[in-house]
Amino acid sequence: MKYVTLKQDICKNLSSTIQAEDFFLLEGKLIFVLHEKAMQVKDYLEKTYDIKVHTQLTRNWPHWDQEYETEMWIQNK
Amino acid sequence: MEKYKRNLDAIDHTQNRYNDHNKIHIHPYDPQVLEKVREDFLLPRTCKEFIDWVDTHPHYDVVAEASSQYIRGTDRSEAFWQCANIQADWQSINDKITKYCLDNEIDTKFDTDYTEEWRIYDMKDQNTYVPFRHNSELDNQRKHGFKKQYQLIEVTLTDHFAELKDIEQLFEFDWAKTDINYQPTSGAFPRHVDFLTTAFKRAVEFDERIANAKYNPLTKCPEGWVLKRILIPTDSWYPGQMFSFEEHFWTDWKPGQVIDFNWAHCRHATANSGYSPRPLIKITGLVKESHWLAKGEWRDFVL
Repeated sequence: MKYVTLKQDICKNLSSTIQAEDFFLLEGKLIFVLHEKAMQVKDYLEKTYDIKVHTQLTRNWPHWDQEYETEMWIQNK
Repeated sequence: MEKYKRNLDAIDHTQNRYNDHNKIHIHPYDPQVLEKVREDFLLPRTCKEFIDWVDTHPHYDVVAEASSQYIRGTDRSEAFWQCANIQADWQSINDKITKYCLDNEIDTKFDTDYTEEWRIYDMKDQNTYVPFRHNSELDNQRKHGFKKQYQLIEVTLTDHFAELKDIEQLFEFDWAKTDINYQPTSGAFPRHVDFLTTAFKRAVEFDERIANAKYNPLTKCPEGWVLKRILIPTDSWYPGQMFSFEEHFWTDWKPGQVIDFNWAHCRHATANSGYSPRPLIKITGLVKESHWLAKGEWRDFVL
């Protein structure tokens, strides 16, 4: 699945809590401003697509405009 | 940013709508900046408009990164796959490439500098083996220490490798463009995605059907067409030679294997940390959706 399609899916199906500015794509991983929202998306993806989703703390860089708490990717089968 | 292959007037600065340009070429890119660039990239354009836009964009490297929709966890079979096998006299073909490289000092004078223009017209002789790079792409690579990537030996535009043109014909591409991607020892090309611009630019330059077709920013192809790039080793893999497609690796290759791959979205990278050069035939071109390659079919060829 492509990022723009996945983002639309997440924002549509979790519209009460997840907005477009809550997460972005960075080098193949979804990167979340708030850990709490990352956990909501992880739960949604694992239940909806029967996949294993990994998360870890984000390494934040000084040249970024804002900080991110969590990054996420999918387990290879 | 010391040296420019094009006059700065060719850069379209109206594309700049980012707050701090000094931060834009630093890896890893700011996720919000990438999202903004992606919004620009997704705007509707014809192929000609797209080529003009990306060619004059001041931040090509960021556009390329933003164009990737790859999500880590994508199955290997969607990153790269073997699509065909060619039985041929690969020993003779590889010997000819090796001799050409010796005669033209391609290994001993390995360098990758700024180049003047795209190679899209026939040429009598090849004077430089430097692959074309957009300024900002090369600036970005050099900033991170990637000063020698690979050398590019023309096939389609010259008359030196008739047997490779025969191989090119097997695939029945429109606007086929074949070259030898020759990576001497120590070469390293960092992670990137492609636009296949050289072949694409030839098609836009000479074919109004392609120039006026809508550019699909999700497939990164003209609507109704599929841009393909296949890779064919002319020599066996040697330990130390690396070819990665994000978390997936291609290794232990054999001459005549034909590899198709997700050039548009799956970042790929090569390095030659072995002590043997690494030659690959690279064939790029356009096919219709009914073509066997576009349908994911397999072919065996004998030459």
